[in-house]
Amino acid sequence: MSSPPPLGARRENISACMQQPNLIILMQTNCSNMNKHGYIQPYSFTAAKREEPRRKQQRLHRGRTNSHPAEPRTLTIKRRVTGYKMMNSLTTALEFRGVTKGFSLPNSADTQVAINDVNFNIRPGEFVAIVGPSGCGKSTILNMTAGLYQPSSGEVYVSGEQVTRPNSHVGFMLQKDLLLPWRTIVGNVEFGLEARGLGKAERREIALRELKRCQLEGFANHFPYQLSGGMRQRAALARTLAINPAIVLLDEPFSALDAQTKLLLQQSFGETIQSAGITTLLITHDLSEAVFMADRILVLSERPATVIEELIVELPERGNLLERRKAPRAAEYISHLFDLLKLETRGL
Amino acid sequence: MNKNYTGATLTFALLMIAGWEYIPGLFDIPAYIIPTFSETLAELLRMYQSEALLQHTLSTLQMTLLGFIIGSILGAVLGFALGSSPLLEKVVSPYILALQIAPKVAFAPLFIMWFGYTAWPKLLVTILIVFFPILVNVLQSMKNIDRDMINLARAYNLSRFQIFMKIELPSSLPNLLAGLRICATLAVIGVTVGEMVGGNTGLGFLISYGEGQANAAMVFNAIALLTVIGILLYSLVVWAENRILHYIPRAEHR
Ligand SMILES: Nc1ncnc2c1ncn2[C@@H]1O[C@H](COP(=O)(O)OP(=O)(O)OP(=O)(O)O)[C@@H](O)[C@H]1O
Ligand SMILES: [Mg+2]
Repeated sequence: MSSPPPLGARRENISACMQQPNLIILMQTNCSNMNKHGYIQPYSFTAAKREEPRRKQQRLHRGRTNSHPAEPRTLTIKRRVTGYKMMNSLTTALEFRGVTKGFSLPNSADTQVAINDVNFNIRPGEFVAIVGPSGCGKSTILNMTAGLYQPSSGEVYVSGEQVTRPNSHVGFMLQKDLLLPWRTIVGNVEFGLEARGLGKAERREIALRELKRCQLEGFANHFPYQLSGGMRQRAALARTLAINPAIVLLDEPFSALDAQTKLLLQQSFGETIQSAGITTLLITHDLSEAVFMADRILVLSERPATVIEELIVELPERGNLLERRKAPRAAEYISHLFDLLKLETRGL
Repeated sequence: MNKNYTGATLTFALLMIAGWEYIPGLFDIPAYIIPTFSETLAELLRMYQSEALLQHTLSTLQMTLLGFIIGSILGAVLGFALGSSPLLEKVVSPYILALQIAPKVAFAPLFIMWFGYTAWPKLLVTILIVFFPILVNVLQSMKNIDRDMINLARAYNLSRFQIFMKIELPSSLPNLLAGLRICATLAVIGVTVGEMVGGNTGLGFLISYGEGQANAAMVFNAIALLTVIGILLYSLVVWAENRILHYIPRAEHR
C-alpha cells in the first residue's frame, strides 16, 4: 500500500501527462540573447510550460537588463551546444534586487538583519537550489517571494511583477506537508484553487490531474493519516502544482523523511518538475540533494546572509537523479560546497 | 473476551442490588436513611403516578439541553472572537480568568433575587457553568493553530473569512468537542443546583422536596434520573465526536 510504484511505471505516468493538451510548448521566443555569463539554459523544454502564456510574453520585450549590482562569481561556465534552447536573458521568473530584511527584536529597538543585499535571478524553467548555514535566512527568502512579508529594502519580482502581497503566481511547500487532516487528498489538492472562483467540477478535474501527475491517483479519497510521509509530501506537491504557479518554492521538502523515502521522492519530484518544466527554487541543507537536483546553486553566507557564490551544476539529465548520482563530477561539486560552507572547520 | 466481561459486570450488578436489598435490613437501617432497592422502585412508581415525575424529568432534560446548547454557542463564539483578536484577548482575559475560577453555582441565589422563581435562574447557572470550559478550549485551539498553515492559506489568497471557515474552525473542532464532553456533565450540575435553590419543577426540586419529606427514596430516584440525563447527553456528544472526527486515527482522540 504505502510503497510507491516502481520507477518504470512512474515514467509512463509522466509521459502520459506530457501528452495532455494543457502542456504547451513555450520558451521559443526571442532566443537571441544570452545572459552575461554566456550561460545557456541547459535543458530543452520539450514538455515545457503549462497553460497560460500569460502576459509573460509581452514582458519579454519591455524587460530590464540583467545586470546586478553584485553579481556573484560564477565558477563553472560552459556553453552547451546542440539540443538545448537558449533562454532569453530578459525573462526572469524570480528576481531579488538588493533585498535586505531585518526583524525587530522583541524588547529592544534594534533590528536583526536576516539577509543583506541579496541579488539573484531565476530564469523560467530553471531549477535553482539555495544552500546556506542554518538560520541564515533561507526561509526568509522564501517568505518574501511568497509575499508573506516585505523586504526592509530592495525589491522582489516574480515574472516581472513586484511582489507586494501574497499572490497566486507562487506555490510553496515546506518540510511539513500542511495537509488538512479533515479533508480527503483530492480535497486538499483543491484547497489552493478555492479562492479562484472556479467551479466545483473544474477544481476536481484539476486536482485529479495533478494527483495523477504525482502518482497518487489511487488515493484521491483517502485521508492524510492513511498515507505514508512520502505520499503526503507528494500530495502537497500536487496541491502546490494545482494552482499552476510561475514558480514553486520548496523549503526543505525532504528533510523530515527517512533516507530511503527521501531518495525515491527526490527522484519522483525531479521527474515531475523536469517534465512539466516548472521553475523551482529549492531550499535545502542537503548539499548532495542540491547538486543532484538543481541547474544552479546559490550559496548563502552566515547571517546576515548574502549570496557568496553561484555554482552552475553541469551534470547530465536533470530530473533523473539516479543518473546524476553516477556522474563523477557530482562529488567535486559537493566537496566544493562543503568547503564553501566551511563545514569541516566549524565543528559543533 | 468481551462476553466474559459483560457477564462479570452483570453478575456484579446483581450482587450489588442484592446487597442493597438485604444489608440495610440486617443492620436495621430505616428507610428514611437507606431505602432498599424494592422500596426505591416502589417510590419511583408512586412518583410517576402522583408526583408528576415525567413532567419534572422532562423539564430538567429540557433545561439541561437548552443551557448546554446556549452556553456552548456563546462560549464557542467568544472563544473564536478572542482567538481572532489578540488585542481583545489581552483586554478581556484577566476577567475571564477570574470568572472562570469563581464557583458558578454560587451565582444561583443571586439570579433568583434578580429573576424570581422562573426558569431563568437555573438556565443562567447552566449557561454560565458550560460557557467557560468551551471558551477556554476553543481559545486554546485557536492559539495553537499552525502559523504555517495560515500562511499557506494567505499565500493562496484566501480571505480572512475563508481562513476561518476552512482552517480555524475545523482545526478547533477536536478541542471544542472535548469541551462539550466535559460540559455535558457540568450542565446537569448547573440545572440541578438551579432547581434545588429555587423553583418548583425539575428533578433538583424533587431532591430538595424529598429531603424536606425525609423521603430518601425520592432523592435516590431523582439522582438516578439526573445521572441518566447526564449519560444521555454525554453519549450524544461522544457519538457526534466519533462522526465528526472520523479523520483522526482512533488511538489519538480517545
Ligand atoms: N518572523 C520573524 N521574526 C523575527 N525574527 C525572525 C523571523 N523570521 C526569521 N527570523 C530570524 O531571521 C533569521 C533567519 O531565519 P530563517 O528562518 O530565514 O532561517 P533559515 O535559513 O531558514 O534557517 P533553517 O536553515 O534553520 O531553516 C533567524 O535568525 C531568525 O531568528
Ligand atoms: Mg528555514
